[in-house]
Amino acid sequence: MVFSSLEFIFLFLPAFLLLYFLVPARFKNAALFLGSMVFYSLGTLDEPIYILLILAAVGVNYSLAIFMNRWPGAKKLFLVIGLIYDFGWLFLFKYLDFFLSGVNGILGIFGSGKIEPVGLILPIGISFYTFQIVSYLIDVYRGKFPAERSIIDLGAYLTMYPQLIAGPIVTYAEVKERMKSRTLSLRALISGLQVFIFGLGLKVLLANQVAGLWTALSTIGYESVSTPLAWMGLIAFTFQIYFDFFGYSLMAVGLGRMLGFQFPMNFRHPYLSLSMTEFWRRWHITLGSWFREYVYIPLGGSRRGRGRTVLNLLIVWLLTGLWHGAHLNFLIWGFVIFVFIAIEKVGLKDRLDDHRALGHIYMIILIPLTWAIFQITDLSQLGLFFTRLFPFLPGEVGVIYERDFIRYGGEYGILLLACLLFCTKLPYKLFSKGHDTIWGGIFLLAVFWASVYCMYMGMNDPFLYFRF
Amino acid sequence: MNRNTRKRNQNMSWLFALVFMISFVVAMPFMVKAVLDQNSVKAPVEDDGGQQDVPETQDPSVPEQDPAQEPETTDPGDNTEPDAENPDNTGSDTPDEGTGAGTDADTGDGGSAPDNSDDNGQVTWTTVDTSYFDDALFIGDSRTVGLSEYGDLSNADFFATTGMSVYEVYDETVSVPSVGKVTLEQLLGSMTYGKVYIMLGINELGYYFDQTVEKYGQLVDYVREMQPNAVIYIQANLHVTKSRSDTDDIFNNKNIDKFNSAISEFANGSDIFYIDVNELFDDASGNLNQEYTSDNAHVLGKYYVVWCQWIREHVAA
Repeated sequence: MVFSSLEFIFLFLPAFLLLYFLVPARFKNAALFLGSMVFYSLGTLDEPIYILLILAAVGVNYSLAIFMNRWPGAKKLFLVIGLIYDFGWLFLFKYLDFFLSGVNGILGIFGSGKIEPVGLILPIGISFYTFQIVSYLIDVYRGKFPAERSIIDLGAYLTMYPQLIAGPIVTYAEVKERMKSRTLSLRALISGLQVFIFGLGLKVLLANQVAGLWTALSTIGYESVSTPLAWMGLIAFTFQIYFDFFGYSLMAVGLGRMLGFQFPMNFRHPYLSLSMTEFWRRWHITLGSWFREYVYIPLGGSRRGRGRTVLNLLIVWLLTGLWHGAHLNFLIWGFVIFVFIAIEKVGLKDRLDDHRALGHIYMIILIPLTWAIFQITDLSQLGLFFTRLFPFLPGEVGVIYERDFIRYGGEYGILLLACLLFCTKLPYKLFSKGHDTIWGGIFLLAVFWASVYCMYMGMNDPFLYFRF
Repeated sequence: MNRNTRKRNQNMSWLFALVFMISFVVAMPFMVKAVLDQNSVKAPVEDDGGQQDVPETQDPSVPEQDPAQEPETTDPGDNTEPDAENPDNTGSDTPDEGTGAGTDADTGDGGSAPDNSDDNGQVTWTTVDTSYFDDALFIGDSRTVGLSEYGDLSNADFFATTGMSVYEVYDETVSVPSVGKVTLEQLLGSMTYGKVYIMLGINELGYYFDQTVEKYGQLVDYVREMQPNAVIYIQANLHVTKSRSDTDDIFNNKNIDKFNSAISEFANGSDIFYIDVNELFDDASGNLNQEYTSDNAHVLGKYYVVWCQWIREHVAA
C-alpha cells in the first residue's frame, strides 16, 4: 500500500490515527508497531512469510544488542553474527540471482553448465529496514547508546510505516528520545498534514503525470525517437524520479510529524547543485549519511592518503550503485558518479563553485545522463538510447516521426515547466511562509483534492493510466 | 504586530483543518466505496450530445449474419507468412519491404478474383500500392495514432486519439492535417472516402460487452450512411502480450478475442470486411509477441511500417 492511494488516505490513515491518539501514552509505541505490521501485511498479501522475516529481524537484532551489553568482551562476535544475518537476507533476496548470473558468466568461459536463477521476490522495504537495523546494531556496538530494553520500542522504530517502504533511513539515534516520550498536539497534526499534502501533490500531480512521457519513449522504442524527444523524455524522467522520491519522503516527514516524530529531510533542492559532490549531499541525504557513517569513515575516509581515499570512494559508490538495484547498469552508474566525484575532488569542484553558471550547466547535462544509466537496465538499450541523445554516434535508427517532439512538447510542455519551477526553492519558501495563510490553505486544499481526483480516476477508471 | 500575524495564522490553520475535515468526511463514503468495488465492471456510459449523430438504423441486415461467413476472418493469405517473420529480424529490413510493395503494383492474385468473395463467403485479398490510401480514413485509438505517426500511409486521413472509444468517437475533435480540427460528423460530412478503416474496442473492454458491441455496430452503420460508397474495414483489436494478458482482468486476450469475434459479425463480405492483424504480431500461443513491444500493448515504432505493408496486402479484391 502506497501513501498516494485512496486505501491509505481514506481507510488506513484515519483508522490508525484514531487508534493512535486514543490509546494511553504508554501504549502508543505498541499501537505504532501494530499499525505498521498491518500496513506491511497489506502490502505483502501474496507473500505473508515476509512479515515473519521483518519480525525476526527485530527479534534477532534486539537480542544481539542486549548480548553486546551483557557480554562486552564478545561484542564483536555478536556484531559479526548480526551483520551476516541482516545482510544475508538482503543478499539472498536482492543479489543472489545477479551473483549467479556473474558466476554463470565465469563458468561460461570454462564451458561448464549453468546455474538456474532462483527468482525470489524482493520483500518490500528490505533495503531500507536492513540499513536501519544495521545502523542500530553498529551504534550499540560502538557504545553510542545502550541496547534498547523494550522490544516493542525497537520494533516500532524499525517497522514504523511512515518510513518503512521508501525511507528516509532514520537511525535509532535520531528518534531514540522521541520513542520514549513525545508530545502529540493538534498543531503538529495539522502541520504534519500540510507537509503530507505537499508531498502528495509532488507525487501525484507532478511525478505521476510527467511519467507518461518517459513511458511513451519506451513504447515507441528508443530507435524510433528523435533526438529532441530523447532529451525531452530524459528530462521528464529526471523530474519524475525526483518528485516521486522527494514527494514520498515529504509524505513520510509529514506523517512522522503527525505522530510526534521529527524525521530528517531527505532532499535539499538537489537539482540546484553545482557539482556531483554537492548533488549527493542534497539527494537522498539519509542514504549518503549512512554510507559515510558506516562504510566510508570506517574504511579510513579521506585521512589515509590520496590513493586510499580514491579506493574508499570507489567502494562506497559501487555499493551505492548496487544498493539501488542488482543489475550491471547500477554498477556502471555508481562507477560514473565515482569518476566525476574523484575528478571534482582533485580541483574541478573549486572551479565549479567559483563559476556558478558553469556549475549549473555542468550539472544540467550530467544529472539527466546519469539517470539514463540508472533507468535503462538493458545495456544494449542503454547504448541505443545514447546514440539517439547524441545522433553523431553510430547506431540503429528506426522509423522516426519527425514531429514527435512537437506533439509531446504540446502535451507535456506546461507540466515540464511546472516541474522546473518545483526544482527551485521558490515554492518551498512560499510554502513555509504561507502555509497558514488563507491562500496557503486554499492551495493545500486544492492540491489535496486534485490529487484525490487523480487517484480516484486512476483507480476507478483503469483507462486513465492504461489508455490505448 | 508579529504576534497578531501569528495569531491570525493560527486561526487560519484551524480553519484549514476544519474545512479539510468536513470535506474529508463528506468524501469518505465515496472513496471507501471506490476502494471496495475496484474491480467491478463499469456501468454503461450515458449517451450524451453525440447521440443524435448516430442514425438509428432499423436495417437488420447487420446482425443477421450468416455464420458461414465467419471463415473469412481466418484467411491464411500466404503472402503474410514472410511478413510475420519479418519483425524477427532486426527490423532494419522493414523499410525495404515498404518500398518493395510500392513498386510492384502487383494485383497478382487480384486479377484472379475480381469479384469480392467467392461462393463460400471467402474473401480474396489483393495487394495495392500506397496511392490506394489517398482516399482512405482510419478511425481508431492509440494503435491507430501509432499507425499515423510511424506508419507510411501518410496520404490517408486519421481520426484517432489515445483513449478513443466507440462511446466517445462522436464527441472527440481531432486535428486532421488536410482538414483541420473536426468532429467525426464534420469529417465524414465534408470528405468523401473510398475506404474507412476502424480499429476500436480495447478501451471499452471494461464496459458492458453487449452494449459496446451494439455501439460498435452503430458506428459501422453510421459510417456506412455517411460514406455510402466507402469500403469499410473492421480491424481486429491488437492483442496484448502474454504477461499482460495473464495479469489483467480486463485487458486480456480472452476479452479481446471475444470482442473481435463479435465485431467480425458486422462484416458482410461485399462492402464491409474484417481483417485481423494479429496474425502478423502474435507469437505461437496467440499473444502479442513480447519482442515487438515494450509496454505489452503497443508495437514498437519500427513495426508500424510492417503493419502498413500488411494492410496493403489485405485489400478485398
